[in-house]
Amino acid sequence: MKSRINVSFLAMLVCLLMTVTFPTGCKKRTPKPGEDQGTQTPTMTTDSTMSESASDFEQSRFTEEEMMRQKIEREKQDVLQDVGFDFDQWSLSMKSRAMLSTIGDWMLKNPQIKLLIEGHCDDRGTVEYNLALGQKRANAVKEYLVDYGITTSRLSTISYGEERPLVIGQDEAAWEKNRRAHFIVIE
Amino acid sequence: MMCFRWFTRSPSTLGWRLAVILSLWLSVPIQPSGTVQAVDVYLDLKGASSHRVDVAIPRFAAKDSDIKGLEAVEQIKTILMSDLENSSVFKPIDISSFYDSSGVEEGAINFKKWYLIGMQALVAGTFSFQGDELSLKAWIYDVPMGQEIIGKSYKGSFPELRRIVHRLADEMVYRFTGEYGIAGSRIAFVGAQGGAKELYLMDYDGYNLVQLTKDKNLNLSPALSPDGKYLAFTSYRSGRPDLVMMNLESKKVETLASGGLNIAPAFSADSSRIALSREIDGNPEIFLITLADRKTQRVTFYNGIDSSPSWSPNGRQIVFTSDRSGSPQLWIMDAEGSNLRRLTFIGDYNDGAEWSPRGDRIAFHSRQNGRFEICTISPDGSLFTQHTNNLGNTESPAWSPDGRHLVFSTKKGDTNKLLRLQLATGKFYEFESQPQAVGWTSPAWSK
Repeated sequence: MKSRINVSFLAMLVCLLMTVTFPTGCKKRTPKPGEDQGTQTPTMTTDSTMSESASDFEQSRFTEEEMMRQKIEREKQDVLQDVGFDFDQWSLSMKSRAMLSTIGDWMLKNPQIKLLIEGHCDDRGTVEYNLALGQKRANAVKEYLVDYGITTSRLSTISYGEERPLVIGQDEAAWEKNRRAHFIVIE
Repeated sequence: MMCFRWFTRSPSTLGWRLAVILSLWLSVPIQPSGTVQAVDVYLDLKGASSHRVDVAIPRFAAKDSDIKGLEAVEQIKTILMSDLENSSVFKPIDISSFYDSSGVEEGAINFKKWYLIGMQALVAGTFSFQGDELSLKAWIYDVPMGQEIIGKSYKGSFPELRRIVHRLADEMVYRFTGEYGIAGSRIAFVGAQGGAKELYLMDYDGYNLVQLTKDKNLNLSPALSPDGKYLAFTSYRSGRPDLVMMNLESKKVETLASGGLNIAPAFSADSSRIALSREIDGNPEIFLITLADRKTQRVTFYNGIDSSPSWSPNGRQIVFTSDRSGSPQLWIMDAEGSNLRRLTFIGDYNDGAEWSPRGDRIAFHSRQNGRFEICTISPDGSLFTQHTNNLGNTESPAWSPDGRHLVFSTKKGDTNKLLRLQLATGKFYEFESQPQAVGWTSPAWSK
């Protein structure tokens, strides 16, 4: 009994400590370039005080957008990986479906994102058939995402056939990398 | 007229003449029947072509013996020899070192002399210059009959010399077979430049190379209209793969189909319609566009890939690639989309079909032992023939307008190049005008 009370008291103390050391609220105003940090003592009128806090707010909103953009940039790198395909196939493997589910989740969380899905092939087929195959690959990916819940208008497709390889080479390693659906974020 | 004379020949030439007539008659498309008739057609074509007409080419006479004249003499001979050799109808014999064309203008030919050395035909001529203008006169003779077949007169500027001699060669082929030759024909193709693919046009022998597009973008899948006036192709100039068409005289380009994927155009023999593979709602399907009113019609309805169409010469059927059986194979259907049947059953990847202007063969590339080879097949599915072996990866065959040659691309190592196969002789020819490190692919051939 005694130990239990102590634990809950300790927990409360920890929480209290955390609120003191990690205050929430307005972000610190990042200094403009050329400004000295922390030495500026504004001699301001009421008006300029107001305008400074207004621009302060805009500044922080701008910064938030910037940070959002950077966050998307970072996530994009992780989430929007190329989806691979087997030779002469446009069907999605289990691994591809898993990747696409991750992409689907990310797109649902970021409703402003639109994607261009590129379909590519390795160079072992023929030029014309590969253009068609690349299109089928892009369409397979789009279909999966639409089924996942992404609105069709957020997804467009294009085929490049064997014309834009990722890796130049005549071995399985190169070919595998070239058989892909690639994603481009379009605003 | 000449037809009757032809049959009063000595037995060997009678056989040859008969075979020529037979092969011309059989150039009407064969209805799929699976009868022995199909086999005979193929053999006769080869048989006919192996009996080529020996034609003597003495030195053409220059009316002025200045430098220009001497240059022209050599050029005329070289071009004529090459054109007649390529015609598959003649076997040109260069006798220019021993004989000139003296007496030809006065009609004073010693036919016996030529007959005794085994010549069946003779072509001789004279030419003169007036400033930069060239005037060429040529006479074609039937030696055993001891008669002039025709005399022709040509005029043009000196740079047009090649074109003039091509016309003479085609005239000769016409007089002997009733069909116009291919010496004046042209080949369009894709050249790789950096990361871009641009379109080019050249004479069938590789001369007069012209770059048609300079988009620094992707231009693919060219098709020439049989009348030689238009080039249809897939262009990414708008950012998307559109089907566009260029007027080869004005060089103006217009868009025929946009949205989705638009590839593999093919003109009908009368140049009035284009078949293409178009994906607009999930699957590449065969569509037809009537050029007069730009109306489009969808003719395949399969949930997979349908691509690379090619028309039969009578415009009633289309051969195309479909993977509806599980792998890319050739299928044939009526132009409206009915009466579908599978054509190829050998190999796991058959694509790139091109129906011969003669109607009796379909050329395509077929994956054999992991590599693509150029093959032909009869429209009834018989006589699957492989024409290349160990040349590298060969793709995209295109027929010459006379159906006697195939041009295609081959890749060994890094660079693609075009090769021409003369079916009568089985000989392969390179295009010497191709620069070293530039890849040439996807040829199209028309007059």
